[in-house]
Amino acid sequence: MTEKDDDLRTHDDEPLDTDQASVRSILQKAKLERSPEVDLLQGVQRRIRDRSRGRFYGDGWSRRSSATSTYVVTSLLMLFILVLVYFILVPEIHF
Amino acid sequence: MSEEATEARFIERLRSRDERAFNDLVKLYERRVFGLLLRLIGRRDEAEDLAQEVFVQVFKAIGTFRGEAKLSTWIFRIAVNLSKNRTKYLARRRTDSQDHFDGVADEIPLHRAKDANVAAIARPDELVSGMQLEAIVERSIAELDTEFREVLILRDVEDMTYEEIAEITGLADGTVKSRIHRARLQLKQAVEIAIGEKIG
Repeated sequence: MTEKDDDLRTHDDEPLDTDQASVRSILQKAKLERSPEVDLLQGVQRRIRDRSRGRFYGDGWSRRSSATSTYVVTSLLMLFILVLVYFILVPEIHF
Repeated sequence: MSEEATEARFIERLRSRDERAFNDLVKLYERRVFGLLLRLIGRRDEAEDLAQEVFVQVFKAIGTFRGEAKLSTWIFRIAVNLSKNRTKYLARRRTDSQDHFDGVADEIPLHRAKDANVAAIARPDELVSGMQLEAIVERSIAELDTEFREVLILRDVEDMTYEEIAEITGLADGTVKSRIHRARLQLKQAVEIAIGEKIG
């Protein structure tokens, strides 16, 4: 069996007649974009939040694809505030 | 950890309504679900709206998922069922999907694609290339009967097995095969009309 014959078979090992094979060949050549770009997450989260009346995705923390960055940023911000307060309340440390 | 075990653990997280797991699920499948719906419906706005609805339904119904089929198969089944309802609804509203079709095929008018390539055809299987062929095929797929378009996309674009297609559509294996066969013949005919040449 030639390489071309292999191409004209599918992963079900389905033998194709000439018409079927030519259509499949055309579809392969057309290089149809199987997965076009799209971003659905925000819209999905909004719908779930609305329909669950805020039970899900209602806390504002889990709305992004990863909440990790939110936790890290918040932790650093809190640390910065604590350091700032410390320097303000303990003036003798200042040189 | 095996693939099955990883999926089982992931499904458990989804069942317990873990929002971060669900975010991962959306990111994992959004493009394929949207791509499928775009081809089934032919309108980007409707496909995007429906794709979001698919994931909402998945979120609601994940507790009923028994793991008898693959998670992806189950998600595609929901997508196909919702698209059937939406297609009927749009038909009732007398929406002409061809007039509103704003998929990738709209970039190049069909008559220009034909004029630009017919003269250069040396072999039927080398008739046109690039965007022209993609536009012709996209347009021809959009013109197929709904029942044929559905199985053809699942088989020849999504590259699914007959078994998966049968699970998704609820059709018998034999029906799936015969519909795919007839869909390809319809598509061949449509492409031949578009390019003005016989193929195969």
